[in-house]
Amino acid sequence: MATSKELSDFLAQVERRAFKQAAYAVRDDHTALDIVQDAMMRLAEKYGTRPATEFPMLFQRILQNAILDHFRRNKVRNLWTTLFSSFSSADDEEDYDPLETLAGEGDKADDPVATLDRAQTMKLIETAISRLPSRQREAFVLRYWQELDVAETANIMGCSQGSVKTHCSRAVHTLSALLQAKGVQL
Amino acid sequence: MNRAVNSHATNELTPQQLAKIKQLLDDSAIEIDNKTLRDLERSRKQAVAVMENRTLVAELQPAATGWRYALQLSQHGNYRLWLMALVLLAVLSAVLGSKITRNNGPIDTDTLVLASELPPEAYTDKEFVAWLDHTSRL
Repeated sequence: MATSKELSDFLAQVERRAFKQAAYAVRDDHTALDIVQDAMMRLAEKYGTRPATEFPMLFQRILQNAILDHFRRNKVRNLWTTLFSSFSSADDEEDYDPLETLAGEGDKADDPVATLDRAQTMKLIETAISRLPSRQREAFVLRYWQELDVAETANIMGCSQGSVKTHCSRAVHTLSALLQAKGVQL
Repeated sequence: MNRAVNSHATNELTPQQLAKIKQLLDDSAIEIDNKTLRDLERSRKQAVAVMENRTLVAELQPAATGWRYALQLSQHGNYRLWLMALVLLAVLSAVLGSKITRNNGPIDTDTLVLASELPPEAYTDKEFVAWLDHTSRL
């Protein structure tokens, strides 16, 4: 059984990444904070007595579910407000093309390769990740940022390992295309 | 650099590029503004407090269960009668005790005088008192 110090240490270790993960998904810092807080509380309430070694996987799963809950709530809310909501792309996310949304921003810089500094590159990558379809973003972040293996990622995402590989492959393709379109060389 | 260009051409990212992206994401997580960090810290402390409360409740659970069990027994058996008898006994003891304490002083003095080896008259005898003074000075 984990102690409160172990829980505190674990949360202190992952809270920043969790916030950024949520922010990439919902594209709003306040909402991301609410989601992370909700995930922390759920972990403490429901799984606080579990061994500390189980916290990383449990917390990732809770966080992903909290993000999904947010989108479900928004989807229901948006159904009543407008048919053309900003989150309606969740229905046809596989057809979503991030290049279309970034095309306008690309026109601002005459020579991005020469002028983009680290901060701009970071911002660009963050934007690109946040505009990936949700399942691709989830798979990409878990595999390449959190460095979980395929089985762990599949467990958290609640899908097969083959689906994880497909999502990751598509995410890498999309990101590569975005970086290429923006002239970013890493 | 060539590898990067080649990978762009094939719409793939090399492990080095993925590592670079990871590094940039790590940096972005480090550079979160102070207000957000304070909010995260507050959320973390709230979560830990919830866990500590839950732990405390879990520790007190056996005692609470014991008391509940005893209460159920007292309700279903004749334990209420016993409880009333105990209360009555306690009240009676208190009343009797106070009476005994109030009469204790004179009784004890009389008992001591009567239990002494000396007859009571000895204490009124002047010669005996004088002898007692002389002996106590030695």
